[in-house]
Amino acid sequence: MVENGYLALAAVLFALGGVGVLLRRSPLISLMCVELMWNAANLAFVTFARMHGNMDGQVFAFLTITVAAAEAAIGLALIVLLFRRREHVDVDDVHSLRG
Amino acid sequence: MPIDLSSVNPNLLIILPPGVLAVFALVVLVLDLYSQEKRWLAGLSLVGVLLSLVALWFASRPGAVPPGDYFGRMVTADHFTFYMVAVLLVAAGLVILFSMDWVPRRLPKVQVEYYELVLFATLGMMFMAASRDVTLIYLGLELSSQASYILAGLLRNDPRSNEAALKYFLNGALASAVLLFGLSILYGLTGTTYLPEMLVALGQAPLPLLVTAMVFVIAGFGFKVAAAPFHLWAPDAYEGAPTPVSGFFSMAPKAAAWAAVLRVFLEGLSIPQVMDKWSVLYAVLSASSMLIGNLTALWQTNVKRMMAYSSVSHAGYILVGVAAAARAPEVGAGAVLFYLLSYILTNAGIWAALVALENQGEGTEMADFRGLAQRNPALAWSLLLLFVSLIGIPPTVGFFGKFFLFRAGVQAGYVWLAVLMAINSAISVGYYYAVVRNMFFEKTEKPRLELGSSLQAVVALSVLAVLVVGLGSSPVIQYAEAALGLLGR
Repeated sequence: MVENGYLALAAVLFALGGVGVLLRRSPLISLMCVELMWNAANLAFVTFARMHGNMDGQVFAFLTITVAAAEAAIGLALIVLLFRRREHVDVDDVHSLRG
Repeated sequence: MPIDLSSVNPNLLIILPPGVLAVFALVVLVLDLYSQEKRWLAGLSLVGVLLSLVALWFASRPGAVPPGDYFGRMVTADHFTFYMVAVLLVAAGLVILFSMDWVPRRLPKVQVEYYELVLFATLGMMFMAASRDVTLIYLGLELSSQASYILAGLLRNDPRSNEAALKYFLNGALASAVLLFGLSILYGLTGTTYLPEMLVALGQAPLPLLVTAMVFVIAGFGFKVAAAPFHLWAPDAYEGAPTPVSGFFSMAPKAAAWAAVLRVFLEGLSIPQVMDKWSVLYAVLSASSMLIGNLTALWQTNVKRMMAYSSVSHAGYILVGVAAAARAPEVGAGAVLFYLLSYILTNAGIWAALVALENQGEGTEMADFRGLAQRNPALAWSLLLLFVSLIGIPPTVGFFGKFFLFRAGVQAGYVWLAVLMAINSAISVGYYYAVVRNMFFEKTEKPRLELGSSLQAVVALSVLAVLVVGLGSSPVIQYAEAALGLLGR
């Protein structure tokens, strides 16, 4: 079945995104990896919607795309704020709060 | 003349409380453009919250809205919805009230944006609590989270605020991606996003996939409620975020996330094969949250950070009720709902005191509490009472909250967890006492600490509620337990 291929792709994308968030230190790359995980979930939703023959999953995917766009806007704004303060952005340098 | 509501479309009535709040949020946003004086807009936001409560009262009267689902099964009318929406609105009202003096001092350029974001976050939370469809629960969660990220970073020129916002954002975004993936698997297994239908369809689903989805969902919500080991963002976010915003975080978004947890797990994932599994997982999370939260809180020197770890440990206490709810739904979930209310009412006063310190240009370190009993005896004694409530000593509301959780744990067979909760309450005396010692037994040269009328109101309401709701807890817990009678069965 062709759907299984899409589901496998979704799982791989999700895993790649997860590994990326954990390993990369740049908040920008982290954000991109989280977006990858989101889109993996979207792909799964759309594939499942086709398998079940109803629209719930597609509706959910559409809403998630909108949410992800808003989230990216906020995330980029926060990263720009940090970037203005320092020359380069690295999550290891962001450590004035500790405990 | 009594108003006859039977002719009004119940669809309109059930959406009225969030509707009123949304209208006020938009009106305040527009008036901001034309008004030089911003302070009255804070009052207007508060009026919006109060009117929303009034609308909720109308909608929740018997017969006004028959129990069931409205708006294409998106919004649910039941006691659970009414109770949680009321709790969230109370939290939002208290937050707006204790921010009124702080915002003009620290955020002079973005005053109205602050109230705006609090209102929109509350709106998202109301939908989280009011829906039985994971689509709307997820959207509500995102609306409230995204408003919260911005709130955390509102102090634009303070690097600590930037850092708090970034950490909160990255962790929150990761959590919501994990949650979303779990929900997509659940949808794949059942073909629906509506929880009661999901419950029916889950019987045929293969168990390994179902457990995988469940673990994703638990991890996603675990981040949002800051249960250990998913709590690492919380101390940094609480310490760096503007103080009233940290107070908001500790009260409202968590309560909404707990409501969503109860909905999803009791209405959607309550088939016997998985119930045992999530119950045990939540019990483990509960034990780790209590221990990690309390033991780390002992070493903190910043009170905001201490309160963050304290909130992690309180998430652990609440998880006792969630774990118990798998085996004794009414008692377990009823105890959780009551504890949410008690935690919000108690926390409001403590955060108001922190805000008061910042209003006088002081910090929120442990040392800033030195000699508070000299500087403002009424506030110091109020704080003592509120800490007593957080520890769980009678006759405060915190004691009754813990008692109901304890009872639920024992009834569900989690005696070890209930005992661990009692031990942890004893540990928590250590760090609350550190603040009390500073307040009462240290001398200071600082002048009297003035609260201002709105902060006084919050502290007074908080103290009053801690005493009154505690002693009069039986109707509240009965309502909270009855809320579950309509939930999914």
